[in-house]
Amino acid sequence: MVQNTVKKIILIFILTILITTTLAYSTAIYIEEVGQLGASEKTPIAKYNLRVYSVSISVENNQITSITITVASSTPGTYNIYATVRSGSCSATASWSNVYLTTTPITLPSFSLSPQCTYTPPGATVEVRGEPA
Amino acid sequence: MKGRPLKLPFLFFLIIIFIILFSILEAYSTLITISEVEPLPRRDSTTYFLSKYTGSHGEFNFMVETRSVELQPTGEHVNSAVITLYWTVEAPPGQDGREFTISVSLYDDNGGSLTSGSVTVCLLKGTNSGSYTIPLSSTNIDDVASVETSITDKGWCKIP
Repeated sequence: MVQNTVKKIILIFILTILITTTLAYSTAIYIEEVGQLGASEKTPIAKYNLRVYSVSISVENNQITSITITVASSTPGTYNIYATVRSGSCSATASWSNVYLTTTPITLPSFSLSPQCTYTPPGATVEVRGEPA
Repeated sequence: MKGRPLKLPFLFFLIIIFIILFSILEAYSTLITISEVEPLPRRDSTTYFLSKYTGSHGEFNFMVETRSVELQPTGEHVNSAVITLYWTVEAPPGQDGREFTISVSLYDDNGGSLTSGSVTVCLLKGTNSGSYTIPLSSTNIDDVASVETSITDKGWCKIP
């Protein structure tokens, strides 16, 4: 008899915690974006947009030798920036580490590419990507 | 307090419940940690396509390369693009060069066109480079997922 009572108490206790947690969790998702979870309204999770304003390549003897980009971020902070150049089947990646970005665009120093891809028609694709450092 | 030991199904039930609780709390604490350490991405990449055109007309060859694309910002919006071209054009006597239409298009994440513009220029024969401004309708830079250029051959041209 006592055993059954203990079981019931434990079950009710656990189910109460489970239901309360689930309700709180689902309410938070419903009311706010998921990004707000785990933070108060005073400290929301920042979401950044990497803004790429310009891409410039240098070409010598039909080879893409270096790249220069101008970037900014909607959320000021320190980022690692990567630029991947693809032309034909060739690709080369430039990287800039610990770059402090604000909403004001800045031009990063020219980066020498290796390997040097041949600049062939119809052209070259440059993908610029950024992540928090 | 005497009694029988807990039965196996009940123990199994308890274990499952604790795993669920642990998972929820773990996810919650992870979000707290992420929010304190670094921002999350809404847009973390943009793609540019720099076009190159080669062609010929009889014995005359021409090549046009896009060397750079620069979106001109006004606050968080862009309203024009400056394109730098490098070209080599051969032209017959009596012609000054070759005419090309240079286009730039901005696309969103779903591949939908945000804005586009073009400029038609007469590229003088020889090897040269130049920059051209293409007006665009005002577009929020945060919506731009890709920027594409294209080059269209329009035929011989003369400078009036």
